[in-house]
Amino acid sequence: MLTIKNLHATVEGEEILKGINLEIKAGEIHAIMGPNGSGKSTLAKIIAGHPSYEVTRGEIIYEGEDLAEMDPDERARKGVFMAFQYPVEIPGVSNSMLMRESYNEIRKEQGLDPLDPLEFEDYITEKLNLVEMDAKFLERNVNAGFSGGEKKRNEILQMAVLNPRLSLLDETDSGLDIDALRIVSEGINKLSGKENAVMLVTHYQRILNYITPDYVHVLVNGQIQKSGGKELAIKLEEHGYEWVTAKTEVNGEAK
Amino acid sequence: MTDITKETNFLDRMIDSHGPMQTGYDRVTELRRKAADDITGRDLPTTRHEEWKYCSLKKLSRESFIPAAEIAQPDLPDNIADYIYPEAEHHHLTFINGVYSEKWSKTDKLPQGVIVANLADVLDEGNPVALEHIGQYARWEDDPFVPLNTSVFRDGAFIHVPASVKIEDPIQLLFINTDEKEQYFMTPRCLVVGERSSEITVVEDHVGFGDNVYFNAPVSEIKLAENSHMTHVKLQRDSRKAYHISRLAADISRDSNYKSYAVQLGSQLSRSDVKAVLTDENTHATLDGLVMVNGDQLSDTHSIMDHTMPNCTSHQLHKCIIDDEGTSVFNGKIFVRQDAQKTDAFQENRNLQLSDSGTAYAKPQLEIFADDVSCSHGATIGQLDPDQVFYLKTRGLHESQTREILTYGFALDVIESIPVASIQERLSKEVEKFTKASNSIKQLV
Repeated sequence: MLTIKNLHATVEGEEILKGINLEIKAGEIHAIMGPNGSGKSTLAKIIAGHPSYEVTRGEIIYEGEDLAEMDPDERARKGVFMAFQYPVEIPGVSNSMLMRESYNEIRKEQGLDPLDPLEFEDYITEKLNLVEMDAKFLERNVNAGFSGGEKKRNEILQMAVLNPRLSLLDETDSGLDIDALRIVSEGINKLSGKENAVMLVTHYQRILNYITPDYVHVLVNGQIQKSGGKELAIKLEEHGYEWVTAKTEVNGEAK
Repeated sequence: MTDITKETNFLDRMIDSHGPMQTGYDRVTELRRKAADDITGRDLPTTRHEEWKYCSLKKLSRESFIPAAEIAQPDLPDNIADYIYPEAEHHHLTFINGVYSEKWSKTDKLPQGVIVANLADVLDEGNPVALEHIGQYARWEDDPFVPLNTSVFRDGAFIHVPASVKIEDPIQLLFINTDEKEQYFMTPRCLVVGERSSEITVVEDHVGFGDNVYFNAPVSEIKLAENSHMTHVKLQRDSRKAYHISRLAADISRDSNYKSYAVQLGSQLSRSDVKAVLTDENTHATLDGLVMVNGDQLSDTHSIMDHTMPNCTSHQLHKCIIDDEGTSVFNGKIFVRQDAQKTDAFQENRNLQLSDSGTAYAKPQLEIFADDVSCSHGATIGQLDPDQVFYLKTRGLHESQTREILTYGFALDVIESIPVASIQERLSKEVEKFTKASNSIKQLV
């Protein structure tokens, strides 16, 4: 589904990613872990198309197409979704209106008829249960006045509605209390299937108690220093990120 | 016949074109004479004049106009009824090129004693309230446009609300300006008098039907007696080649509340001078505005909020959206006179620039002579927030949808404060039209 080859990227001239290689197949969950400032959030943003970052070398191939050539909205319509670390407030637009417009854009891309507001209401009601959100959130302006936990749940609600092929979850777990973490994680689990894939960017091992990744990658200083199965996350929790940096200072090659 | 060898200035030409005005009651005749004397031989202000620094009238001064009433058979569109807001179904006055149209006006279902009528008729009949208040409030220093209107105005609206009467639904004043070959000019005049404890909403709507050049120079005067309330919505959607130079003055008495929402969408040049005088204690005034300019439009708002007595509050939120080569100007004066202790005045001017080539001028101007007051003011100029743009794009929304949603979000707090649902809907469509028309090559992100 997604193949990243030797990806280098800069922001304002400073190199943040220094040769990332990563392969994500349909049905897989990949956890990207790493210390603060390692470039893991950058990786998610670059895949989503954030304009502040410049890809200087390498490529990102999604479903056989080069993502670097596409605007962020085009990527989204082709099934790439990003749950934001800091979801943005949008005044003047209700949550349900945004999600309906988004969903209909994606339907159009797939050659399907758009849903009218009533049809959409039926559709979204079942999705609400998934993240245990009250219908009143639909009428509020996007993320306006939401608590931190509500914002994160709202991101997962959008993921449920848009039904993406590839979900980039950027520190969706950070700052959540245990209850909210459980709700969000269960939602993500229910949404993952054979046809789609998840790239979970996280600083903490905690969320992996709820979501079982197929692969764990440790990103340090713009490179994937170590890859492994879920046991890698447990080891990291025990030994800290220093353990990875100390061991693989010479050359980290991800497989 | 005009002697073309004689050089005449713009204002003289305007007044002369009308010929002698019919005489009526002394008060009106005197008012007209004085106004004409005021501006005879005077030139239009130039950009050297501080109040006109960013608003050049050079182009206007070279134009020629005939009085709009001389157009015998205006090119009337057949959908005039569509321009009546459903809320104003039972009471609206329509003016076609400044001339009162009985056919398209209706004043049903008004409470006992309320007058909603053509000002010219009311003055001819000698209505004492109209005669008492006309020309009392619209006064600006060094200003030729109120005198121009006063010297030649005929038709317009007169609204009189007796004491303790509340009119539930808004009254609409619809000014329709038709598409004609001749360049015409008109001087609509409105006078609204709310007696003690009255309550009213007035919608003043100027609509241009073509893409033609004309000159619209309306003056509105509002007098609110004690404990009365008025909401005044003005929509300026004149032809994109029109000139619109308007004056609005409100005189607000003790315990009264005046709220004005002015929306400027049309005209190549629109200049709006608004003034609220808080004449006694515990009065409240709102002068909010929403301006959208694109192409080479210029919209200039000059406001005066005049606090003269203690314990009054005022609110000004003025928002401008600028695309293409558009220009917005805002000059907001707040006076807090020596007696006006405990004044609470708020002013904010926010400008959203959608293109690289638009211009916004903002000038808050506070003159405070009392020592126990709270006055806040701020002016900002900015672009759409890149984080919001990126967020919406990652949700699959196209550039144009993103621009529209965020522009609407910017304008929303002004739109939402307008208490007429169909105007809110109208404005959301106007925002959509505005953002769709964008020629701006600037990519959002």
